[in-house]
Amino acid sequence: MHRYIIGRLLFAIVVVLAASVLVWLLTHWVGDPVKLLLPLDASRDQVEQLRSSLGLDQPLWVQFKAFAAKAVRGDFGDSLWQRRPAMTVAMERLPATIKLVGAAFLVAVILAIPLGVLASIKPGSALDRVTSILALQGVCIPDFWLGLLMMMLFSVKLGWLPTSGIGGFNYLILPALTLSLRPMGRMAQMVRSAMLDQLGEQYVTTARAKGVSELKVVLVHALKNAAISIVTIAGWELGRMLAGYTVVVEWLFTWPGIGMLVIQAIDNWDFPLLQASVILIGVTVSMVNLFVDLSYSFFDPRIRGED
Amino acid sequence: MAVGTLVRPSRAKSALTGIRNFSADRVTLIFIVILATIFLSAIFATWIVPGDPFKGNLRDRLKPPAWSEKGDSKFMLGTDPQGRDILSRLIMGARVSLTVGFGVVAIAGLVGTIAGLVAGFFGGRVDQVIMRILDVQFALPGMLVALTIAGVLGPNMKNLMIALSVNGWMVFARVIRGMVLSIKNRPFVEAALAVGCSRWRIVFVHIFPHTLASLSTLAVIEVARIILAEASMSFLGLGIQPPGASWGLMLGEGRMYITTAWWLVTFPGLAIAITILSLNMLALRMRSYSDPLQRRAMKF
Amino acid sequence: MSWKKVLVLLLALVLVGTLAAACKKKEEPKAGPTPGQQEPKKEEPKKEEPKKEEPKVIDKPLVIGMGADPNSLDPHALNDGNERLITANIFEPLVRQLPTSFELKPLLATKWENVNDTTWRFWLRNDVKFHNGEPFNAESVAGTVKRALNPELNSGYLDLWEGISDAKVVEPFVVDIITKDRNPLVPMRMAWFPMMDPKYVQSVGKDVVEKAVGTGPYKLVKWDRGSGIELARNDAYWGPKPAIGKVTFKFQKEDATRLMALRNGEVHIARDMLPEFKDQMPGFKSISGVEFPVFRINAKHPILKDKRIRQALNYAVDKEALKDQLYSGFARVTQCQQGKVEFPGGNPNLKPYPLDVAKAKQLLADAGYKGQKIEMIGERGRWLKDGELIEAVGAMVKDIGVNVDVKILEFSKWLEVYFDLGNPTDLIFVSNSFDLGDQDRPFSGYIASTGRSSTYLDNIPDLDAKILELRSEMDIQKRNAGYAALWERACDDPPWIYLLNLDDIYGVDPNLNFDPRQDQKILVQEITWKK
Repeated sequence: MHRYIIGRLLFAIVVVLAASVLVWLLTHWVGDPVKLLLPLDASRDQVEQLRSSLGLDQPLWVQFKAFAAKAVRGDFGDSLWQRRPAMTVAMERLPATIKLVGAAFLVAVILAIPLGVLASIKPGSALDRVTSILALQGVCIPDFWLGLLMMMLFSVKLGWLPTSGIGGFNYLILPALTLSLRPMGRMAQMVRSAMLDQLGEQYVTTARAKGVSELKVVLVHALKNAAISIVTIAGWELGRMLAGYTVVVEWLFTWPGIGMLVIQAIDNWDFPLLQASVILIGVTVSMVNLFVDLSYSFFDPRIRGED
Repeated sequence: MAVGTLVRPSRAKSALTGIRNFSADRVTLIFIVILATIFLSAIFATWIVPGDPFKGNLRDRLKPPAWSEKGDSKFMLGTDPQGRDILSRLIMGARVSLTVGFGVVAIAGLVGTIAGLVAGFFGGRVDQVIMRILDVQFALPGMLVALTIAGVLGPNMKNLMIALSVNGWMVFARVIRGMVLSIKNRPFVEAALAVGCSRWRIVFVHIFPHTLASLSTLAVIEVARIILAEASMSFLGLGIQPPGASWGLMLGEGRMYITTAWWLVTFPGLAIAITILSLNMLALRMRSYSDPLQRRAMKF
Repeated sequence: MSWKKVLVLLLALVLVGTLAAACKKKEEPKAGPTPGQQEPKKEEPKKEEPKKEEPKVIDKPLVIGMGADPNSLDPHALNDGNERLITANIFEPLVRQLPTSFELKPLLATKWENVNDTTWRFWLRNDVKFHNGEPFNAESVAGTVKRALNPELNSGYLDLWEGISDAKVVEPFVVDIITKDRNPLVPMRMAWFPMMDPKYVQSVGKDVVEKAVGTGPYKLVKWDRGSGIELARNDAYWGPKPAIGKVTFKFQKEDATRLMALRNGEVHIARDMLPEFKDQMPGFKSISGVEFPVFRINAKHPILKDKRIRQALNYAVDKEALKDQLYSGFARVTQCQQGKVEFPGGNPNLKPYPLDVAKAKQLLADAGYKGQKIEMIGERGRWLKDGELIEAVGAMVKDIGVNVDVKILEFSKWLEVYFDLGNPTDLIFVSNSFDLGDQDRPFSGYIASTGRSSTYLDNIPDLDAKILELRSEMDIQKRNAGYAALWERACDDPPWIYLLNLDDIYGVDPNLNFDPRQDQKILVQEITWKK
């Protein structure tokens, strides 16, 4: 058990390290942020002065050593654009992203599990088809387009909800719905097939033969055993939402989360900030993955005994 | 994780019968017709566009589609803020989407397949190394890495394709490796080894063909995924740049005008959705025909 | 297996969305002008009834919708319009521009005077206190100036303060601003120099970016990053008490979001509205701004050095169409100069290059142009409709037969190209702002061969000398006449493709007395509620 946890933990650390090195290399490979920081009419002396004060005139490996030494202590340098510690800027945006992803994830789970379970009870039923359509839609329709259409309908035409930005609960509705659709469809489909697998097992037949009520068979026996697959897919989807989908949705709804910050950092050529944001997302995703891995042992005693 | 379950080992024979049944299915035929239309218009885009997709007249800007009150019959689906014909831009956009989709899948598929074949067949340390790289890369925030690459290299079609390829090879590697593992212990491989065929020859001549059916299904699904990724990145401004035409870019440009010009964001999104839907439907069918097990499991 | 049903349902879903979107077309805007509206072409604001007629003051909270967070609340750090919009209410400079001109009025200084070639003397008010209770005096001014000019701060405003080298306390409420050379613009430059409490700045260190303490009529209450900033009236303010007690700046990046927020009363002033929103806003005000988008031409280029080619490029652009179509009339065609004719040093005799494709083609032929490729660089998202403007001009230039290759770059990449004077690009879009009300910047910066972003001809012997001479000319009459004459040359032998002067458009609640300022600030103390 301990070995398992330590193994997963080490893996998470390797992933975060890989992400850091990759992003650092990419951002230092090309480009020059200096000119962005100066007024349009800045003189060439000013440019050179700032460049050397930021250490950008050093060879690449020297810069990397300096970066690594600081990064270990949690110092990722100052954001070139906001002139504050980059990690602070990134951390400030994390709550907004967690709020959005959390809401979307809740919507997805709350809808996907009943939908998948119900679909599995009667394969081929109307409900089953709805699940399939949702799943397909999640894959086929670009979420940002759906978001745009909802924006036109609910905000511009009907005026019920704000078009974008952050504020009270009503600001959360459209982005969370948009973000939830794709994972919801896929999760419903996965829940369905996991349930179908379980319902075909021997123990279900036995339970039914023993006269256990159908409701109990489905909800207690089958669902419990399907839980491990469901947790896996839910964790996977949560990770993907954090690591990518949220960027487009945040950008579309100008939700000031970390996904939008990444795009702003790229636009502003603010590479300390870009690094800090990507690393922070990497850490968050790794933590989600770690949590999913650990929850296996909860749902599946066989892993617990592996030690 | 999810991807591993998508494709199962298939039998070459059933694939053949599959192709025969294929055309019998009318719904599938519809999707094939749609895809063929998109393909042909992408190929012949330069000849069939009704207007100039890259240049418009400002005096024609933001015209609604032809059937609306203020519409102009010259512009079937209306015009964009530059006065360019939306339909023409959609057609040119198809070219971009398909180029990126197939280009990336070709590159990523090639790299991934070779990696998967090598890892699966030779096993040992090679396998270990490839699988570790794969695991780590799967765990990285892929979209962010792609965005960073495109942002750093500068947004254009070539760099977009590089960025997406870097993130696309792992799926192929993982699936192919799994298949090789199950194939390599079959008698015919052992026989080939016994006859003294070189190991490289066995990999590419004996094993590789058995992966083709699943590989092509996976490739179609991946094309769809990449087209969506291209649209997302162009939407974010890190893909195709104006005056180029890309569906994602058109959505991004139209967003500013959602209060005044609904047609700017409606049609490009529709084009993306239909293309991806058709590709996925095709993939589903391909899989169900090449794999009888899957076929039984399909319940729509 | 009902594949058909799946398909039909899916398409139906998609269509419902599409139709729902399409339906909105029916919603026609209200006809006729709404109160508070103003014709785009008219620039003069309506004569306001004198405020004294209104006996009671309405103190309702005001909400202003703007595009983005300021990067910092340190008014000296980064040249950032969002920061200025907010800090203009917290900090005050020594002098202030009048709302619609470049004339100055006293603010923290009561009067000023040029003492000698390198010294301007300012007499200060003696009744001003900072929000933290500390008094404002000559020490504050000297400390502020020294801090802001410190190279370590690397201020983004250095170019606006150009020539200022130091400040010296003369008496407790008299201060001297020292310049390197003769510098006639010091009073105007001081309008761009908000005063801080140097001791306080010292004590908060790096936190100065979010701890704003000034002398202004409003105090910082809180800053929710990404969401908004709240200010409250400074009851100890030295000047007239502002009517509005609480003001919130809301950050709403999307133009459409600000529009919707304005329509449902969530915000009362929405900045940077699109011209297309004209009929959808409950009320709006526009003012002719100080932004001048142009294309810089590399006159050192083997082909473009021929002035006939550069003239042809100017003849190619249909500026009227840009103005009427792209900006719905919310712009003016510049009269062949970087600035308005009524600006100091403007030349009212110059006329814009008309659209004349035949003439442009003729000029190209005369100059022996053979279809060589010309690169055109632009960016997107920095200025109002910049991407669209660039694309449109690119298409027009193509129409006269120039083989132009339009490239839209990311802003950071664009900056690199813009400043790469060693290897200048052929044509590059830029929007220059005319902040100081003086013509020195366009000439010293963009035309003189030593200019920081100049790619103009460097073989005109007397041009640099003339620019240098005017730069330190203290006689305003002579100075302006000199610039007007220079514009005539810069029109005939153009360094740019001259385009437009854009209007700033504000969506405004009709119950608000608000008039936009030329310097783009929103001074809440100037705003009152009608009811």
